[in-house]
Order: sequence, then C-alpha cells, then structure tokens
Amino acid sequence: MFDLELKDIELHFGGLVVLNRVSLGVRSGELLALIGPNGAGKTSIFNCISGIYRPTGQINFLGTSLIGKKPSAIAELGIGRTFQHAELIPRMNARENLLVARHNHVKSTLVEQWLRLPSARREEADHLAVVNDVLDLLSLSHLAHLPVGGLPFGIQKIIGFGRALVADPKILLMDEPSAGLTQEEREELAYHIDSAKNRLGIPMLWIEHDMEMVSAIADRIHVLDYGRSIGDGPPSEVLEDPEVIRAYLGTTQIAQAVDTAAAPLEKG
Amino acid sequence: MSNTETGIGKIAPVRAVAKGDGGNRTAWMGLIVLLALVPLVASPFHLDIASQIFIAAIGALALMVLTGIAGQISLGHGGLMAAGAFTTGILYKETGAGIWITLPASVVAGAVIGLIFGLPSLRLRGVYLAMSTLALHFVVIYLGGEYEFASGASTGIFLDPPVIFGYELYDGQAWYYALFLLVAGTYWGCSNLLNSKTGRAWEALHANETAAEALGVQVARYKLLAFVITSGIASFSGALFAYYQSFVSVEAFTLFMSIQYIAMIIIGGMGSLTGALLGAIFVTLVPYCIEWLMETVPYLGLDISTASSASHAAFGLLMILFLVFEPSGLIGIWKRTVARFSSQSKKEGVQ
Repeated sequence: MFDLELKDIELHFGGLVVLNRVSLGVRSGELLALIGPNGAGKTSIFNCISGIYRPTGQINFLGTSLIGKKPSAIAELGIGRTFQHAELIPRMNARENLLVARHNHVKSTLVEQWLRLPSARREEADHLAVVNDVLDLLSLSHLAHLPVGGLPFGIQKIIGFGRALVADPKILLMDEPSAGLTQEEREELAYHIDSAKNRLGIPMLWIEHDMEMVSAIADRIHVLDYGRSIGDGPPSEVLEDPEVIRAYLGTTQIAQAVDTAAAPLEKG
Repeated sequence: MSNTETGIGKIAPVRAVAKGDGGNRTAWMGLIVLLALVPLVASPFHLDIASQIFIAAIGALALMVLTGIAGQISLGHGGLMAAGAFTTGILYKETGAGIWITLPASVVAGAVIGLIFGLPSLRLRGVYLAMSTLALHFVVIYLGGEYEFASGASTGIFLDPPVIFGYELYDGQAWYYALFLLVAGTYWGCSNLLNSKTGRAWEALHANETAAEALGVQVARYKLLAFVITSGIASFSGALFAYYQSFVSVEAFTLFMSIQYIAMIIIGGMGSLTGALLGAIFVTLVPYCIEWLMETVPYLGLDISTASSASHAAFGLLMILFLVFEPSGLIGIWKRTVARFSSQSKKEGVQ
C-alpha cells in the first residue's frame, strides 16, 4: 500500500544512535512532511533512502529493496531528491544543471556522443525540450543561461527543485526546500510543490521547518525527535499532539501556524 | 524575487563555462582559414614552433578534460606521453609497423595505463591523487629506460618519417597541416563529449561526488572513463611527438614536462578547452621568449648556460602570478576584453 516503506531503520555513527527503529511509509500522490528539531535525523533518513548511509532495517520502493544498493542505482530506480544547499554545479547554467539530471534517460553511446552523430543530436534536443518545459513551469527561463553560482541562493534552491523534477522521478525527496528563501519565494515554492504533486501523482517526502507551509499543503506529517518517531498523522492532529509540541517547537509557534493554516494559502 | 543576503557564503565564484560551443562560428572559421594560410608565409623555424604548439595542444586538451572538467589532478601526463612515444618507437623498431598501426596501438596503450592509474582516484583526491599519478610517470620512464638498455639503443630509438597514403610526412609544411587537422579533430571530439551526457557527468562529479551519485551518475565509472579517454589522447600526442622528433628517448619526458602541462591548463584557464589551446601556445613560447630576451638585451646577464634555468624560473613565476592575479587564466582575460569592447561599442552606438 505504501510506495516507499521504511521498516525499523537503525543507523549508528560510532556510539551515537542517529536513527532508532524508524518506520514510515509514503503512498502515491501523498505529500508526507518530515518534521523535527535540528539533529533529529531527518536528512539521515534521506541519506539512508538514497544509499549514501548504510542503515540496518528494510527500505522498499515499489517492491524493490534499496538496502545495499549504490546511490546511482537507487537514483536510476526513479528516486529523485533535492539537497539542503542545492548542490548545483556552480559554473554551469541552470539549463545545463537540469540536463545533468537527465543522465539516466540518455541512451546514446559514448561514440555517438563523441562524434555528435545525428542520433545523439536528436536525443539531446529531446532532453533539452524536457528541460525547457520544466524551466518554463518554474518561471526560470529568463535565468537559464546564467552560471548558477552567481544566482541568489533562493533561486538556486528552486533550480535544485527543477533538477529533481526533470529526471521524471517516481518519488521525490525534498530536503528543506524552503530554507534560505524569502517569504515570496516560499509561497511560490509551496505552489510548485503542490501543483507538482497533483500533476505527477507521485509520493513526496518533504523535510520542512516552516510549519505554515507544512500545515497548508502536507497531507500527513511524520515527526522525528532524537532519531525516534514520535508522531504520524494529518497536520491538524499531529500539530496538536502535546508530545510533539513539547519535543518540538514550543507552544506559541505551533498555535500560530495552525491559525494561519486555517486561512487558505495565497498562491503566487 | 531575490535575496542575496541568504545566499552569502553559499554562492560559489562565478566561473563561466567555455566549452567552444560554436557560439561565434564566423570568428572560428576566420581563425581556421588564417591558420591554414600561415605555412605559405612562415619560415621553417616558425613552422617548427607551430608544430610543437600543436602537439602540446593535443596533450593540453586531454589534461584539461581530466583536471579542468572532471577535476582529477594528474602529474602523470609526461609519463603518458612517454608511453605513447615508446609504444610507437618500440613497435616501429621491432616490427617496422606503419603509422596506422603504431598510432592506434599508442592510444590503446595509453588508455590501458590510464585505467590502471585511474583506479587510485576512486579512493584518493587532490594532492594524494597527484602523488599516486606521479608513480605512473616513474614506472613508464623506468620501463622505457630498461627497453633502451636491453635493446642496446641506449641513446634512444630512431624513427623514419611516417608514410600516409604513400606520402612521406617529412617537411615542416606537411607536418603543420597534419598536426593542425589533428588538433582541430581532438578539440571537436572533446567539445562534443563535454556537451553530452558524459561531459556533464564529469562536471557533476567534479562539483560534488555525493550529489552526482544521487543524480544517478555512476561516479566511479565516469572517473575511470575520464582517465581512459584522456590518457589515450595524451599517449596519442606522445606518439606524434616521437614521429615529429624522429626520435624517442626517456630524456625527453621529464617530470618538468608534466608540470608544463599543468601550467598550460592553469595559465590557459581551468575548465575551458579554448583555454587549453591558449595555454599550450603560451607555455610553448616561453622558452623562445627567454632566448629572444637574451639576444636582444645583452646586459641582462643571461647566457646559453642559464637559459634553461631561466625559463624554469619564469614558469614558476608565471604560474604564481596567474594563480594569484588571474585564476581564470588567459581565457578569463580574453572574455573580459571582449566584454569590455562589446559594451563600449554598444555605448557608442547609443550616442
């Protein structure tokens, strides 16, 4: 029933327990927000799914176990992700950065690429069309020719989101996509996440600190604290849970977020 | 919709990607026509310098792809050129094989050596990787020396001019055109690769291996591929060097040669194929400029015996100057100049 399911994931760094029997799952078409204080192990979960860390336990994606697979093989299964710090290639422009993510879709051989044979050229044009569509969708076309290293961090993050989208992922993992963004950029991002979810119908796992955004667009929330799961359910329930409130933000912030969430989010 | 404040410390320095994407086609065509006409007016001495530049350019393009694009530092470039030269020399001496056999054999030999010496790159980075590639240099030079000694050719291997389609490649003009075509072909091939999946994978693993892997790039495979391809090309240029000099000897392939190639890509401008060409021109010309200085400025205190150490010192100085004052290299200077002129002409146009 879950597209992606983690069961009893444990991760240790030396004597430090980073993840302690974490289990969670995401359904297709569902936006699951992963929240928790800094150091709770949210990004570690992403790194376990991506194959960067080697946890014990089970991780299954559409019937395939991801445990022990190389990160590139996991990406090839259709698991796309964004990074906290965007991690773009600074001297390439946005268009080239997005083209990198088409890697697994390029079929032409080394010789075809080297001699730029017509088959390779045609294929390249097709991939470029996909990239341009995503750039259009995210209103980035006017910046697409600039080296991304010189662009504001917020824009880099949106390009990073586009890079994950352009790979035609079967699931999307987003690591604090809104961190470092202005309020205006956040609203735009929330709109893009929500519309991508509705358009693609894929499961999405979303690490976020902005409770306003979470309560507005997340379908469900999973709460981590010190590597343990302490809550899972719809935003309205989870954010009212006393244990979550105690462990996490502090009463006032949550209350504010729930209040604002009652009003529909203005979409830029 | 911009917030530069949040970006502070996270914005990498802007380095323009210059991969010869044919943006200015007419300028390139003009340059090619001009270069094709050079032999009609140049003296044999100048044609010789041009041919040396061409051979260096092929090697520099290879190193630029490996280091400037894929980010793998190598001090084994001279060793790879030696491998190509010796493969050609030994094949010719032992079997009398023609250029259609020796050149492909040199490419394959270089590619195999590149694969072996690329393996440490899966574990090592930066200075540590550079040290491991240094081993490549000494292994090849040792094997070459052993062959020279065992075969009684202690002074080196002599090669006759190569024969292409019944035509003996001997005089300066013929060499100029042949090497010119090979440089153009190498540049074109490298540029195609950089503008494809392979080149983008190299850029990605250069920028961040973990992120590249998470995007689906098989980092280990693409690193080795970079070593294999560029080592094949470097070995190819070594074979050409052997034919051009009609002579192969370990003495020609010093560690200083590897450093000269690194100087070419730094001075030319990291990450740019055109920069590799500019660097090859610049570095090849430095010793000639030093010599010229010695002849024209008699009281400089330079004589023949100090010429070589003077050019070594000049290299050191130039490398430092470029690293400190112009990290984007000659290509950076060139781009700024073009940008300045185009903005000036725009202003004038408005007035």
